[in-house]
Amino acid sequence: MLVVAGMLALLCAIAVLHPFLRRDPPGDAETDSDNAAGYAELESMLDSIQTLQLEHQIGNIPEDTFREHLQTYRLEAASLLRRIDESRVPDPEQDLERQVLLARLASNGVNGTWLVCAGCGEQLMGHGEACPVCGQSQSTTARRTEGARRVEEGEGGEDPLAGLRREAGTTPLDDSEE
Amino acid sequence: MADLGAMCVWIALALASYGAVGSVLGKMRGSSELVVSAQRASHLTVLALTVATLSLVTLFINRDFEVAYVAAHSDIAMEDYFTWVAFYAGNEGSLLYIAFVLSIMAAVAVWRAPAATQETLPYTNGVLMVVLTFFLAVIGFMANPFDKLPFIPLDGEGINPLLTHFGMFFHPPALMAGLIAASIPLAFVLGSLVGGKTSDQWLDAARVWGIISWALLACGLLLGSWWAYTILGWGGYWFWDPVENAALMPWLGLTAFIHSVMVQKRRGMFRMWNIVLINVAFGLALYGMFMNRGGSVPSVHSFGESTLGWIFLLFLAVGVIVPFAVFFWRYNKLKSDRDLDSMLSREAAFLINNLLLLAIAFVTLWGTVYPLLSQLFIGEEITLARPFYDQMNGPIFLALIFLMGVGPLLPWRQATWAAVRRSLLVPSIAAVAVIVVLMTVGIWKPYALAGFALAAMVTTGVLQDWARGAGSTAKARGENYAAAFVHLVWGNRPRYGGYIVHLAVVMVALGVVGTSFFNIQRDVALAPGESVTVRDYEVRYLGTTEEFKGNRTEYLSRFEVHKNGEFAYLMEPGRHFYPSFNMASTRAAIHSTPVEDLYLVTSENMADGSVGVRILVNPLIWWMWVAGPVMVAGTLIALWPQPARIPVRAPSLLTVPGPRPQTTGPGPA
Repeated sequence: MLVVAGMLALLCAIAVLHPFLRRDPPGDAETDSDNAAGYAELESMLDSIQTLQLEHQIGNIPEDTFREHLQTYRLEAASLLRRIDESRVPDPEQDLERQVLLARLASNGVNGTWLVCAGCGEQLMGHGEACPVCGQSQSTTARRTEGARRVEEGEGGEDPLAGLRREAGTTPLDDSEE
Repeated sequence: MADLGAMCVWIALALASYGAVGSVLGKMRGSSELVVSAQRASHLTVLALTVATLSLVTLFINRDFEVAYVAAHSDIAMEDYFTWVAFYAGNEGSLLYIAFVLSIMAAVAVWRAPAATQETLPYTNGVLMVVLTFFLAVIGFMANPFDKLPFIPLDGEGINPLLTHFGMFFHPPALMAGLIAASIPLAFVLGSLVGGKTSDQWLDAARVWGIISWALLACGLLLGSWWAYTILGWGGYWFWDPVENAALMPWLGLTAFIHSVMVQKRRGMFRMWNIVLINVAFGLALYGMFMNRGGSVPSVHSFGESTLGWIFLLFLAVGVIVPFAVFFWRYNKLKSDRDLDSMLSREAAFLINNLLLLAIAFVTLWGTVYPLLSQLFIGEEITLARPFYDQMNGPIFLALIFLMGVGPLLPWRQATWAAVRRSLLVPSIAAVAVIVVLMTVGIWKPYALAGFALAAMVTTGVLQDWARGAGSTAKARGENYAAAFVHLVWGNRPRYGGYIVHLAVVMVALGVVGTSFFNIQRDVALAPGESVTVRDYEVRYLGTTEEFKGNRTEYLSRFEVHKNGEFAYLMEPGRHFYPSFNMASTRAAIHSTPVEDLYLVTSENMADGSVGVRILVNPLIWWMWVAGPVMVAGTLIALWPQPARIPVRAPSLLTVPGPRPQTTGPGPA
C-alpha cells in the first residue's frame, strides 16, 4: 500500500512541476476578464428586458411604465455596449468601417435625409436634446454634421477619414463607387 | 489500507497548502507557471482524497478493527449498507467527508468559473485551498480516521443506533456539504476584492454556488426533520436544538443572499449588502460546523465527545474577521451607483425580505448562544426553549410568507398602485375566502388563520401568474395551454424555478401550521386487547413480538386501527434495544395522508405484556415531506443553464444601399 501511496505522490509531483517545464505565452487575462464582465452585465440587462416584456405581457406593468422602463434599459444597454467597445483591443478594420460609416451618415444628414449621432451612429429623427441611445448631446451631433458638410463642400474642416487616408495613401471615398 | 489512507491525507494536505500559497504568490508575482502549477495541485487534492475516502470505506467493509475509528463506529453485526453512515458517524470521518466534498466543489468551481472571474481566479483558488488546508490539518494532526489501536479488538463498539435510519444516508452529508459549500461564493467574492475587481465580476459564480449551498442545506434540514419525526420517538420534527439551529442560520443567510443577489444582477444595486450577506452566511456556516464538530453544547446530534471546539472556534474567528477586513479595505470602491427607484418595487420587497430573514437568524442565534452567555455572565446555564422561538420567530415567518406572496407580483424598478391592486386582487380574495371558510368550520386561532390565508394568497398569486403567462404565450405562439406553460417555464427558468420553490415553502408552512395548532397527542399504557380512542381513531393493542438480531433485540408491537367504527388498517411500531449502547431506538408507525398522519410510537414494553404508547394525530404534515422533492425540482429548474447568447457581429452597413430603416424610439423589441 505504501508503494501505491508513493506512486500517487510521484504522480502528483510530476503534474505539479510540469507547468514549469513548458512556457506558454501569457494571455491578456485582464482585458478578457473585463470584457467578460461587461458581457455578463449585458446578459443581465437582456434578461431584465426579457422579464420586463414578460411582466408587460401578463399584465403586471401598464403600457406607459413598460415603455418608460424599456427605454431606460435600452439607454443603459447602449451605454454598456459603448463601454465594452472602448475597452476592447482596437481593430483597425472595424475602426475604418466605423469611420466610413459615420462619414456617410453625416453626409446624408447634410442632404436633409437624416441626422446621426456622432457618438454611436444612431439615426436621429429630429432635434431632440440628446441621442436616445447613448445620450450624446445634440449640439455635438450638429457640430459633427456641420463638419462633414464643410468637408463635402470643400469649406475646410477635418475629414473624419483624413488620418486613415494619409496612412493608406488613398483618395476620398466616393459613394457612387460602392 | 489504513497506511494508504493516512498517506493520502498528508499528500492532500501538502497539495492544498501548496495550492493556497502558490495561487496567491503566483498571481502577485505574475508567474503564470506557478499559478497553473498551484491550480493543478488544488485539483489533485480530489484524487488524493478520493483514495483516502475509498480506503476508509474499505476498512469499514473489512471491519478492520485495528483502526480506532472503525472499531468505534462499527461492529461485526452492522449491515454492510450502513458503512456509508458509519463513515461520518464520528468527527474524524465527518471531517474527511467535508474535506473530500470541498475538494470536489473547489475543483468544479475553479474549472467552471465564469470568464469574468478568470483574472482573480488564483485568489479565489487560494481562499478555497486555505479552507481545505484547515480541514486537512485538523484531520492530519488532531482527528485522523486512520489512527491505529495498539491492539486489535475482537469486535467494534458498533454504530450509534440513532444513525441506523434511511434518512441518515442523506441528511448529514447534505448538511455538511451545504455548510462547506458556503465557502465557494465567499471565495469568489474575496478573490475579486483582493484582486481589485470591485464591480460585479463575482456575481454569477457566487449566485450559482449560493443556490447550491442553499439547496443542500434545505434538503439536509428537511431530511433531518423527517429523521427526527420517524426515529426520535417524540412525534415532532423540529426541536430548536442548537445543532439544528446551527444549520438553519446559514440557510437563512443564504436565502437572503440568493434573493438579494438578483437585485444586484438586474439592477446593479445592493453590492455591499450582498458581500455582507455572503460573509455572514459563511460565518454562520462555520458556526454551524463549530457547533456540530466542536461539541460545544449538548444536543440530540452529539453522537460523540469532541475536543476540537477550540480549533473550530479559532477558525470561526478568522473566517469572520478576514472577509470583513477585506470588505472594509475595499469599502470605498464598492458602492453601487444606483438607488431604489421606489419602495413599491420588487427590489424593495427583496430588501425587506432580507431584513426579516436576518431578524430570524439573529433571534435563533441569540437563543442558541444564550445558554453559553448566561453561563459566562451569571454562572447559570439558562436554555431558551421552543416557546421563545415560536413567539419571536412565528410572526416574522408570517410576514415573510406575506412578502413571498406580494414580492413576485411587483415589477422591478417601480410599480403603480393600480397595477398592484390588479395583481393582488385575486390572491387577496383567495386569502379572505380561506379565512371565511375556516371560521365557518370553527377555526378561530389567529395565527393559524393568518398562516392558512397567506398560504392561499401565495399559491393563488403563483397560479395566477402562471395562468396569465401561459395564456399570453399560448396566444402569441398559437399553442395549447400545456405546451405554452412548458415554454413559459423553460424560457424563464430562474423566475419560475423560484416560484416552484415558493410553493414548496408554502407546503412546509402548511405542515408547520397544521402540527403546531391542531395536533393531538395521547400517552397511554395498553394491555393486549385494550383500546384507546383519539378523535375518530380507535387504536387497539394486539400484542408484541420479540426477536434477537445480533447486536439488538427488536420489539414489534401490533395495533389495529378502526376509523369511524370500521376496521381501517394495522400499524406496527417497533423498538430496537441495543445492549452495548444501553439505548433503544424507536421506529414509529405512521399512516400518512395529505390531510393528517396517525402516528404511533411505543416507549416501553413491560413484563406483563402491556406497552407504553404515544399516539398523535398530526394534520397536514404530509405536505412538509412532499415539499422536499418539489423544492429540489424548483431549484434544478432555476439553476438549469440558460442557452448562451452568442454575440454575432452585425452585418456591415457599408454594403447596404440606401438610408437605414427607422430603428429609434421606444417600443417592444
